[in-house]
Amino acid sequence: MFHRWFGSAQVNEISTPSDGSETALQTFVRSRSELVSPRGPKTADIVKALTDLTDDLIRAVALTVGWGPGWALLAVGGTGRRQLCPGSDLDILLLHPKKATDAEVRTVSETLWYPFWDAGMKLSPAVHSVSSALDLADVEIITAVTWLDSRWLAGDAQAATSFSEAASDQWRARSKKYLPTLLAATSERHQKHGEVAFLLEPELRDGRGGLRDVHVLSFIERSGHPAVANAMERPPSELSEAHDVLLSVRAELHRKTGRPHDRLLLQEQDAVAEGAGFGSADELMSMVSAAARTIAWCTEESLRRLSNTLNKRFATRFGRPMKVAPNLALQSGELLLADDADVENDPTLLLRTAAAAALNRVAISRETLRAFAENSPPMPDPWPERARNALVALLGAGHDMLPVMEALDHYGLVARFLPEWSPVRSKPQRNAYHRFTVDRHLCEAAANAAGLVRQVGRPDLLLLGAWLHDLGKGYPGDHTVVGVELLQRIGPRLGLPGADVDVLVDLVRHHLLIPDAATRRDLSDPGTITFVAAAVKDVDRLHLLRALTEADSIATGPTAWSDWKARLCDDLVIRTEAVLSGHRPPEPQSPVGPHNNDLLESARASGTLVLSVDSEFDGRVSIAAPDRPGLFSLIAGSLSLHGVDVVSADVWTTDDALALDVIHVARRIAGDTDWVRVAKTMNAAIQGTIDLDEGLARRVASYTNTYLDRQARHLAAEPAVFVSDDIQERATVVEVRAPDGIALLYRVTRALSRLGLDIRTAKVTTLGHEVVDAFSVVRLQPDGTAVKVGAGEAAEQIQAAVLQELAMSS
Amino acid sequence: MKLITSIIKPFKLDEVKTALREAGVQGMTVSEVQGFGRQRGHTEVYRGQEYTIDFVPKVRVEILIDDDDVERVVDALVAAARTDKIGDGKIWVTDVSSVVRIRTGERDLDAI
Repeated sequence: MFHRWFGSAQVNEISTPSDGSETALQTFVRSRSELVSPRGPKTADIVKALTDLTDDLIRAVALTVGWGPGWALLAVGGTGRRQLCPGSDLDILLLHPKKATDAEVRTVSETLWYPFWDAGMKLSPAVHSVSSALDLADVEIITAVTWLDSRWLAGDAQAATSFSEAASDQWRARSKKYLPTLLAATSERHQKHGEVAFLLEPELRDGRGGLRDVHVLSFIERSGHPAVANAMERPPSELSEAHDVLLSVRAELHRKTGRPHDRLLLQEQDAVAEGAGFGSADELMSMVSAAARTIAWCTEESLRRLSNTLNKRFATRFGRPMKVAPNLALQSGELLLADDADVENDPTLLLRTAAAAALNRVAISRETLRAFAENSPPMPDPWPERARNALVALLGAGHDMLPVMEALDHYGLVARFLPEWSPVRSKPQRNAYHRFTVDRHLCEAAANAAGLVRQVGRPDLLLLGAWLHDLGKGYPGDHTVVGVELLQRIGPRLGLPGADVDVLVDLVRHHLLIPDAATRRDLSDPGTITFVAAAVKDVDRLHLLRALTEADSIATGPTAWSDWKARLCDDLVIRTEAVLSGHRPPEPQSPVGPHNNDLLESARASGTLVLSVDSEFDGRVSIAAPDRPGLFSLIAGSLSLHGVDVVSADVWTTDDALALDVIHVARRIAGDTDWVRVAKTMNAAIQGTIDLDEGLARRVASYTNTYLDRQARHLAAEPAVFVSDDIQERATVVEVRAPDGIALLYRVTRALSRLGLDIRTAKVTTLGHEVVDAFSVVRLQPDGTAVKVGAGEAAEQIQAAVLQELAMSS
Repeated sequence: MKLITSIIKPFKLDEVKTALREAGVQGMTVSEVQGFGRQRGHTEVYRGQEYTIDFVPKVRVEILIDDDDVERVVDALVAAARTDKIGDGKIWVTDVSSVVRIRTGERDLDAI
């Protein structure tokens, strides 16, 4: 029986030359090696040619054995999918009847495999009975998905078909077990290999947006999980086109290098572009990036929905839309527009939505993105403050901002609020130093900057500067020179005051100054320091540039930032700061004017707190009251109790112990607030007839009980508190940098009051999602004189008290 | 053949590179290194925080040359890297028994 099936009659025709001419096997091997040679023929579809040739080759070898019932040869995995690249292994499964003896199986496999091995081809053969193949698939997901793409090549066709069906059935039946493993493996793979679309040397197969993602989508689709079927979007035809682009580039890469590696290195890009029929390496990389973006986009949405379904995240608690921010609601883990949202008439809505999504680590629903794409109005010139703050908050969300920015970009929405974005989109940078395309480099730099905001006085300018510093790379000419011109136009359009535009422009102009000077100039030469100090102008800019240098370098590549470089940069910064701190900016002018004189007079006469809402300036409230320790804290707490968010505040104390506070609140709030009641609350708080802490605790509790607030507490940078006696002559300066939060100002000032400190002036600023509050404080002596707090232990005590308060309120 | 290793101040790299090229040196390996010699570390106060810089950032330049060129190349290196201040660095010369150019397999003097 055995010999009848596996007689050697045909072997001679295939593998032994009888008349000196080539055998069929030799012909196939020769054709194949010509096809995969780096100088091989230009073939429009090398993958198809290679797959067809290999199929023929396998079938020819299969002719050397006879095939009984239950014996079959199947192509599986990539070979089964007909996606062979020159470096791919041949994935083959030999199926045998359960009753076959070891000797039979060994003889057949050796007859089949040796011709491939002799020809130097890479074969990954598997030998199984139907049940052992399915058992292995049950415990190994890699095997399970390999069997999913099996197809018959030779032998018992019916046995092969029924095996393929059984493998698919098992995949469907066990999908609850398989899918979580598949999701975990996919995200681990993305972590390890990075993004195809944004890396200058992308990993074409395993990167995010690479070929493997398309396979994974198809595996998920075939699981037939009922919830999954709902979650999956039908893959659009662009997905398969994108897949084909990457596949043909991968095939050409294998062919040019003669290796099975899938990372498209810079040194190979010219040859691959030429071989795959692209005009230039830049054109090749743009196509690869576009294809990967499409794949990543389809994959991300499907994986997210699948993951939400599997984890039942949101499903039970938030079945119905839950309002989470003005005009925005959360449902099934997606941010949607609430009923009161007005896309067509509210130009700030797009950025507010993006900021809320990034800060809370949720996705914007695709319906919402489409609504923005169709109906969002152009941004007014200059931008409303609310829009600018939302952009800063979005950038300040750190790396959680990247998927949101990518989603906006997919619908062309980034270019809608920043038209200068289009030229840098997917733009490759062909040098060994950078690892990302220009657009991703800018976003990465901003994300890194979010972790450094506590090192600078103006987090908003740092984030904007980081996001825009290389915008000039989209245009011809020196990118710094062009960038300066661009920012001179963009800055005013963003609605920034002239002085801020100057800082932003200087950040772009000098973004390479610190690393260049630190590594190329003699830091012990006073001339170097004078030169840098003159260019940088002031300490604020110096700190901004130092932070920008780090954010930019880390976003450039692994070689661009190191402990070594950090030390040189810090050395330069320390020396330059010493020179610059001799020139302090002038202290701000007192806001006391005729209007405030009346208010002060009224407070002096009545001995109580008086409040007036400025009619000329929307959202400006002036408050005068007899000064007393903790006054500002009580005012801040009362405002929080009435739901009034302080945007900025200036506090002054007159020589005759009256305090004047000029406070800017959000305009939207100013109109809705009953200021008479606010003033009553303030007076009651001063007299001690109400308990602010209790009221605020209730308010905080009712706001933090949602998923969103709990999620929002992961921001990249720790709060920071600086205490210095050296900055002002008569008071100690306490500077607090922290993420914004409910009643934050009240808590910080209360902490200062509890230490027995009197707040003489305060400068409170909210920048996007960040606050930078500077207080000058004194300690009142028993005899009524005011002294500085002193350095050392006293300063540490202040630091600790404020940080503790911040930890409680966040 | 000799291996010349030099530790120099980072900002001197460009000058050293030019000087070596003029002296006929074909290639060099440059790395970022940290260490200390007689210069030792020093202490800085920055934003109220005191921190000690115990290792000073330097650049290491390594070149392979023919025995006959050693004196000339070392002289060029010294001239280019010197600032006459503490921390200028060091140069040392070691014997090399064999060199291979990986791409072509060329050996020794042909591979330099």
